Amino acid sequence: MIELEHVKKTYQTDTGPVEALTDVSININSGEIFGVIGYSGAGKSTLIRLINLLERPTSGLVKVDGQTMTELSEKELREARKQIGMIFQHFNLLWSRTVEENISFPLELAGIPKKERKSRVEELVRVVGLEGRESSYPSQLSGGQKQRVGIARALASNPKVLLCDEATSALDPKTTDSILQLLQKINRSIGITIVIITHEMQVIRKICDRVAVLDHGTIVEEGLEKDVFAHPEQQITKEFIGIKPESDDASGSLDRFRTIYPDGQIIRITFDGRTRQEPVLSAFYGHEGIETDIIESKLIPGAVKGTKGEIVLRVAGPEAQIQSVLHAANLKNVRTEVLSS
Amino acid sequence: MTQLFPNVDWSGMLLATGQTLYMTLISGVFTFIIGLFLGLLLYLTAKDGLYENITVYRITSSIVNVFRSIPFIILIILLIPLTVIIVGTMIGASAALPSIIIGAAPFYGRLVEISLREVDKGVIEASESMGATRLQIIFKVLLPEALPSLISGMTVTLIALIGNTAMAGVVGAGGLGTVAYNEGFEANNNDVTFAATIIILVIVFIIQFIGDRVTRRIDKR
Repeated sequence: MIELEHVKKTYQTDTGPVEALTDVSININSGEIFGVIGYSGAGKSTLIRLINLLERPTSGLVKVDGQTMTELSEKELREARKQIGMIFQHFNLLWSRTVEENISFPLELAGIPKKERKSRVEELVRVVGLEGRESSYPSQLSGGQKQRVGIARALASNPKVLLCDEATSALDPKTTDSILQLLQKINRSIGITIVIITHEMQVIRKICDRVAVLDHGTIVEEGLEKDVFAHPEQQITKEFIGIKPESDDASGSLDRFRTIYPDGQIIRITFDGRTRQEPVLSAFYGHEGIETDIIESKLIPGAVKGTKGEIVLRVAGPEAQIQSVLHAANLKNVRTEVLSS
Repeated sequence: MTQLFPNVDWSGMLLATGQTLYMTLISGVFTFIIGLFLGLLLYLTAKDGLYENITVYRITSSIVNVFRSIPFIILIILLIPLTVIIVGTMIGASAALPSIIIGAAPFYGRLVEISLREVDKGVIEASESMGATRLQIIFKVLLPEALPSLISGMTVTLIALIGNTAMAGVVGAGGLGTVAYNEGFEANNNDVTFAATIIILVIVFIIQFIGDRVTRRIDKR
């Protein structure tokens, strides 16, 4: 659906050229939720603005839905943009317009007759759950409600792509969850392709299918969300996930634990979010003849998917029994690995 | 009344008030239109504007600065030839209009420019992302979003205009300024000057009151 080919963006500033994006190639499939994570200044905002050409790349190609955006005339570009909705960190609503007038705005721009606009707006108000607030002004709404207006407005022209520019960064965690759930619902129900840029790992974990990690203008890691989360390769990715560099938390307590309990194996269980209501630990605890202790656990409750995170265990007992427990646990969509024995 | 203001000719004062209101109203309308145009021109042609054009911006900006800097009383005299061409005479309320408008429009133009700059850049970006044309951005985003600020700027300008009409009165425009100067100051009738001043103050207060009310009504921020 979206292809960036060797895209470069250089800004001319008073102190000389600044490279925002050095060489970025991404391929985003139709209907997926694609996340881009990076620190501020990594080039995320530039990257997402290249997709609808709010920023023009210095070199490289941008294709959306088979159309090469970089080759379009101004008029063609305006038409193409109607296929790409966008929501923003600060919502960017027109405060002089009510909720329904804001949602109606892109339809007005497209010259759609009033009657059609009205019914479309009613439908969108329902989709984002703002019934009863149609004639409120943005200043009378909470942050979450404002973003719902933003989403409804972005969806008004039936776009194929929705770009989310730090769409939850100004919201509290609970509101973030509800907005992410709404985005996922929309993705599932109308199959819209969603691109999310964020600096919050939670956002990626909760709804993204694939993720790219952006650092200093290049993509340093990319893949399925669960793979990148389970096997982070780059230092920066580990930072986002919360694994501290070098003096790793787990290994610290691991050493400590070794001195207390010299026997047994240290085992890490990784939950990738697909596990749901399946007793994993009971396989260890319920097994005759083996002893199990939890050394450490880091679990992130998923908003929509299952639990994610990891638990580190010390397991002591006969080798054959431990192996059979590990085998049983592995069948339950979790990954176990023996860190030391 | 006759004791407090023994020398005031009230029917003359009424006529003068009418002339002042006439000058304020007509020059207000033209100042609004020309100022809006100048403000948009400045905003749109400035760096990173929708119609960025540094040459046009610099020229417009210089003209605005020059006319804003000339003291009004001197501007009236400088513009006498132009006034004679446009109005046909240099005496009377209508003759004061060109210089009042040319004095006030650049002032309001700057206020318009400031108001437009205060419109959230994010909203303009959002409109661009929705495929808005530049004209749609001007008429559906910039002007409506800036409206309360444009109105309060106009209130300030109108009050400055009244001051200018009074000054124009000194050089024969008529209105409350003429009454205060000719029949009050020159004839040593302080009560006449005083009465004219009070009427001007009342007009200023009414304009400020209406302006504030309208601004508050349409401001949904």
